[in-house]
Amino acid sequence: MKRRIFLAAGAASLLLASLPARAAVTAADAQKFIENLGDDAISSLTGSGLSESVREQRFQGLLESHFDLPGISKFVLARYWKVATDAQKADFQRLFEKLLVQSYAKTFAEYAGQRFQVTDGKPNDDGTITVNSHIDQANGDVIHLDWRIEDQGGQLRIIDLEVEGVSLRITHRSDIASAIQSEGGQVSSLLDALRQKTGSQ
Amino acid sequence: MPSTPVKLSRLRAAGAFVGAILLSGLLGGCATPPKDPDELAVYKENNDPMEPLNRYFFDLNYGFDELVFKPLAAWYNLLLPTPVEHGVHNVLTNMDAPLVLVNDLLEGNDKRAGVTAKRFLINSTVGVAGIFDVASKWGYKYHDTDFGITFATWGVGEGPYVFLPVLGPSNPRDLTGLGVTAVADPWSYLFGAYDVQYLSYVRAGLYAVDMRARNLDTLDQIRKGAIDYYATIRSLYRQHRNDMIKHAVADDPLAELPYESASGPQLTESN
Repeated sequence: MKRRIFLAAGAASLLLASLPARAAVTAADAQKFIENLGDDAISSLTGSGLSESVREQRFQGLLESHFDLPGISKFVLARYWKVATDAQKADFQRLFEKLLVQSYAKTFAEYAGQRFQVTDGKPNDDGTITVNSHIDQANGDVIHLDWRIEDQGGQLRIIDLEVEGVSLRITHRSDIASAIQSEGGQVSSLLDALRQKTGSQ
Repeated sequence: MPSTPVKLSRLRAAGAFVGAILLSGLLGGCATPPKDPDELAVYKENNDPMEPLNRYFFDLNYGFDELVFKPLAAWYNLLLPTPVEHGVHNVLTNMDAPLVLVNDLLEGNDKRAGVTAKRFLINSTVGVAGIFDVASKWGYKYHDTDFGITFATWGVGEGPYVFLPVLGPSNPRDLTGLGVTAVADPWSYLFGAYDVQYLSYVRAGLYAVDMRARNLDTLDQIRKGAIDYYATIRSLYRQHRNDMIKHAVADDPLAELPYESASGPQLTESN
């Protein structure tokens, strides 16, 4: 009985001790994080004089400093992550990142003064934070962007981005799963397809 | 021949619907479910038993799009001044409002129905027959819904994924919704009554070109970023529909929020 009380007290104190750490990163911090990312992206990736390679390089920099790329790669490769060798995992991460850079960097080339606004931030049950934002397009469309952010050892990292309810990592996971399946379930074949797609060695 | 377009559009929708059911019945065994449990889990998640046939239509549509719709949309973008394109889009969107309102009500979404009704009244009058989206500037933001979404809010499941020629990605639930839309559309009756049925075709044609023109860059980008374009579109369609359902279930009051004052980074023209 005593032992149980002792355990309960221990658990309670542990819980209390962990509370301030959890509260250290607030939804407001996460909102600020995304606002800064928006500012950085617009100031460094847009502009008519920018060459494609410089834009891609800078985009990759922002991608690596703000997104949880290892976590997203693991999610995207899903069940094949377990069967992949360490070398294959590393290859996949590198090629997948390249695919992201090549697919998304050029969106900023067409930027023409649209306003990016962060509107809200709320903690989720699993400890992550969702930050809502939107872009007002010149044609009147409003594009909603919801960012899922995780505190990873004191550093904020984006683990998913939903554009109008379409999740970045789920979309890529569906793509990769079908690609592997049509290649006979071989991770190595997927890597070949990715190499071809991204024009890498 | 009076009211042909009405009959035609009804017939077309009914034909597509019956065709899809027939196909799903006849060709349901097109893809054999895999035996490996992991593969089977993916197979079930994809929920695409007619995948080989769907992929065939997908390729067919892709070729057709490259040949016809994409160039047409590109020319449309090139030739028409942007304000005119916006005007066309706004008119088409405004014409959809009565059926959006019906669906808002069928979904039991009073708030969204209110927004849709106000939007239609404002844009049809102050917005000059819908050319200008004045309502958005007054804080009544646009949202979309349809009979497929309404069925979903009533608890109807989507059923297996289908990809149809011309119509594109769908499922039995959304396809039924499309059939109901074709029959319930007030404009085809109105055009028929005033003996200007050709306007139904003009509207359908403009609708297709407008939609394609607005998605030129997006679809191109998706295709370039995808290893399996078909699977990516399948995932995008599902996620997009589920997002619409989520908003419909919530009677999302978002559309009624006042236009936000500039609190985000103020951006300047870059070129």
